[in-house]
Amino acid sequence: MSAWHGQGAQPACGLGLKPQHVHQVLQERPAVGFFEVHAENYMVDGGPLLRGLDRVREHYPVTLHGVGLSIGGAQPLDEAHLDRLAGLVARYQPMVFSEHLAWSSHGQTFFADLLPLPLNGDTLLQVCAHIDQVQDRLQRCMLLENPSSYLRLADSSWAEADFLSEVCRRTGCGLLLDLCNVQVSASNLDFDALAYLNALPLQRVGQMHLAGFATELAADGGLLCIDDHGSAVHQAVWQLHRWVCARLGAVPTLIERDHDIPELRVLVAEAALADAALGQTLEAMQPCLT
Amino acid sequence: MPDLNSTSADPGWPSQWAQALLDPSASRPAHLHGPGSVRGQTGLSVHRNNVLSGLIDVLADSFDVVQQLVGVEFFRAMAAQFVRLHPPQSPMLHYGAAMPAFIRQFEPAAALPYLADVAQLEWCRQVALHAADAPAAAQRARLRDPLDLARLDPGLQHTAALLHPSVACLAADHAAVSVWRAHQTETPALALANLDWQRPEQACIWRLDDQVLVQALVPAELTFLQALQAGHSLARAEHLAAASSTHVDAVGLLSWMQRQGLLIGLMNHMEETS
Repeated sequence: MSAWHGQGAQPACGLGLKPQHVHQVLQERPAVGFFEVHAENYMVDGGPLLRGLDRVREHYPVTLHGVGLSIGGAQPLDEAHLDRLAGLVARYQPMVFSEHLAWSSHGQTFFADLLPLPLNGDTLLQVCAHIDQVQDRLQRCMLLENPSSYLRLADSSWAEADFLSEVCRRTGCGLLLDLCNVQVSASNLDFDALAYLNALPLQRVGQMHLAGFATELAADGGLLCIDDHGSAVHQAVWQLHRWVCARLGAVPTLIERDHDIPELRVLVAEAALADAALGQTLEAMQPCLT
Repeated sequence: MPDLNSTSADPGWPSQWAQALLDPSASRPAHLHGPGSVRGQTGLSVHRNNVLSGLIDVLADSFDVVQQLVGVEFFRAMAAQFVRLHPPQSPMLHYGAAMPAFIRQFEPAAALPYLADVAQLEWCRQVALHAADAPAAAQRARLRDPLDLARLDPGLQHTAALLHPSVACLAADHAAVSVWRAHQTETPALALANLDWQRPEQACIWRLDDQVLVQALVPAELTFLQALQAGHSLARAEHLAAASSTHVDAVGLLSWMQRQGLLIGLMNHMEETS
C-alpha cells in the first residue's frame, strides 16, 4: 500500500457530529468543512443514528474516528470489530479513518478509555502489525493519533515522536496530530512541545485535532492537565496550531468537543477561527509560492 | 469479577492495568515510572476515573428515569458497582443490558421494588432505538398498500405476522410503565401520587419513524404479541391469548399494529399441530 499522501480534500475545518445537532445541521447547513463521528457509536443495526449520518453525508465529507480498536494492545485485533469498521467505511466512504496509539481492550473486557502502552521494540512490532492489518482490511491508509499522557512507563525505551515516526515509516500510515494531546502530555511529562513537534514527520499529518483541557492540582503539588474535551480550544493549543500551520500549510483541522457540548453555532464559530488560522497561513505562504 | 488474566501472549502489563483500572484496592502496575512515584499514582487515577465515569455516563444516558428515581449520587454509586462487576465485553458502546438484573438483586435499592422493571423498560427503549430497520420493501408496502385485514378471518390459521425488528415485549411485576410515563411529564410527583406500585403492567416498545414508542397492553394483548413474535400463526396467537385471560379482538389488534408500524407484513404459515 502506498504511503499516506492526503486525500485531496479541501482544507477546511470540521466538527464532531453530535446527535442533538443533526437536525439543525441539515436545516442550516453551516459552513463546516467536514463532520467527524466516533465509529463505535455507529455500530448499530439501524435506526435514526445511521439515517441521520446518511443524510449529513449527502452534504458533507465525513471522517471516521475509531476509539475501540485497541491498536496498541498486546492481544490480536478483534476481527469482528474490524469487519464492523469495514462496513462503516463502505457505507460512509469517509475522507479519513483514524485511530489511536493506545489500547482499550484486554481479554473480552473493553475499558472505554485510551490507555498507555510502553514504547519499546516489542510494542513497535505489535503496533505496526496491527496497522498493517487495519490498512489491508480497510484497503486504505489510516491516520494514527498521538496520545495524551499522564504518566511515564518504566519499560518504554523509545521517545514518543520517534516511535510515531518509525510506525509511519514502516506502515505508510499518516498522523492525526492532536495538538491538545501534545500540550497536555508536554505539561504532564515536562517536555518541550515544539521539540516534540519538530521530531515528528509533519509531512505525514493528514488531520489535526484541537480541544480544550482541564487542569487540577496533583498530589505532588504540580499541575495535572486532563484531556477532557469539555471546553473551548485552549490558547496554548491555538498557538501550537499556528506554529504547525506556518510550517505545513493548511491541514484539515477538527474542533473536538465531547462534554458540556454548547450550541451548534458556538462550535461553528470555533471552526471558523481555525479556518481563519489556516487562511492566514496560506496568505503568508503566497510570496513563497510565487 | 471477570477473569482479566487469560489472554494469549500477555506480556504482563495489560493484565496489571486491567486489574488496577477496575479494582481500587489492586496494586498499581509495576511499570509505572519510579517506585512510589506520586505522579504515577495520579496518572493512574486519571485513567481509573476516565474508565469509571465514562461508563457511568453511558449508563446514566440509557437509564435516565432510574437515575431520576434514585437521585444522581445513589445512581452513580450503584452504576460504579455495576461497571466493576460487569465491564463492557465489546467496544460497541451500547452498554447496560445486564443492568436491570443487577438492580433486581442490588440490596440498597430494595425499597424501590419497581426500579428493575423501569430499568428493563428503559433498556428495551435503547434496543428498539438501534434495532434494524424494516426491509425497504415492507416500508413501501405499508404506505402504498395497507393490509386488507377485514378479509383475513378465514385465513388466520395459515397466516403469520411479520413484525418490525424493533418490537419488544415487557411484562413487569410492578407498575413500571406508569412510573416511566410519569417521568415524561413536567410533574412526575403529581402523576405518581395515586399510583398502585404493586400492579403488574405490560407494554410493547417499538420504533416508528425514528421515534421509540411505549404502549401499555392488557395481559391478553401481550400474550398475543409474544405469540406472533414467536412465529405462531394468527389463529394460534389468538387462541393462546384467549386462554390466558379474556377474549382478544385479533383483527382489531392487528389493524392497530399495522397503523402503528409494529406489523409490517403477513406471511404464509404452516400451522403446528396442537
